[in-house]
Amino acid sequence: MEKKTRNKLLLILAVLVLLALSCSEVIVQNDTASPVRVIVAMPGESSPETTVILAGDAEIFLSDISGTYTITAVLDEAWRDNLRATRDEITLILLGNLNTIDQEEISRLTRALGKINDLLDKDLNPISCSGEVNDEVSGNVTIGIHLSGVGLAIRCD
Amino acid sequence: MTDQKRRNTCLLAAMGILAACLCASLLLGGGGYYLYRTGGLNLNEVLGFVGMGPGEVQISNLSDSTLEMVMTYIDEETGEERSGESVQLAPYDIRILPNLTPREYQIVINSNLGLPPGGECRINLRGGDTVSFVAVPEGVLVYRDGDNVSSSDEVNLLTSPVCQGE
Repeated sequence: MEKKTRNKLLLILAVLVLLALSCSEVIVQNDTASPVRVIVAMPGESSPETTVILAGDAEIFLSDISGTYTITAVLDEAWRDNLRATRDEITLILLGNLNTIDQEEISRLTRALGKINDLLDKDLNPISCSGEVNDEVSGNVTIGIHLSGVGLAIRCD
Repeated sequence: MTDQKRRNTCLLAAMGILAACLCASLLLGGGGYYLYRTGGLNLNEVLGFVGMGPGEVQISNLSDSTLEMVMTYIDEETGEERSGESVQLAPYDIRILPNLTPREYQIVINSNLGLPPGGECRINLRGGDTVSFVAVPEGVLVYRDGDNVSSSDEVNLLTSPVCQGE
């Protein structure tokens, strides 16, 4: 095989390998003075991920495919308050302080925790935005304070 | 019909079938690759088609301390211990680990504060199972969706049959 042809084939192979290994990334920056809870739905992922981003910090989220991502944010303190009732119920079950164990109740509690999006009660004032990411374009998400000074604002670039 | 004509007809039919198979393969492969890249198809669905649906593990940290969950499993072919997933959860984090191959997993929950020593939990994850762990300051609740429960011991990580590979 001629050297030129071989080099071309190697180049094509390298490009194909790079395409196979490439991934999409979304950078979420918390520009507020408080910890923010983010719920991240990356392209192709069936279950959203939830994590906290401390004031002034940023987190990077990765996906091995291109597509639409969605970021939802609430103040972490509000998120914790929302889950404290569930925590109290779980504690009661664990400590055996109930006369009877209600299986339906346990099932309801664990399933509710699994449906992260449903936990975002409207009282938490969740805000969200979406964008497209691919091998070449990253998502940049900024969370700040709303211009009115009350609540959060979010921008997906 | 002469033998020559019969042979030609046969050859033509074989080529037609071959071309149809090639087109179908290209369509399936190309379409599948496109759907995979765009998120229209995921591993979960693919395994579902062949009757090997995955299970999932959900962990909720409702305690005030950071915790780490480490999952390992035994490779059936080599007998060696393999690391599966390792997740760190800040207070009030919820994580779902989908698309897990049905098999036996060893799960260790490490926590810096508050939680009593969790010990080890050996779960037998079956296809379509959802096993939930919920950590609170007083301990860890473990529950397989759909299981019957009659006492606190059955859902306490330290005593639950779910954590004894049942």
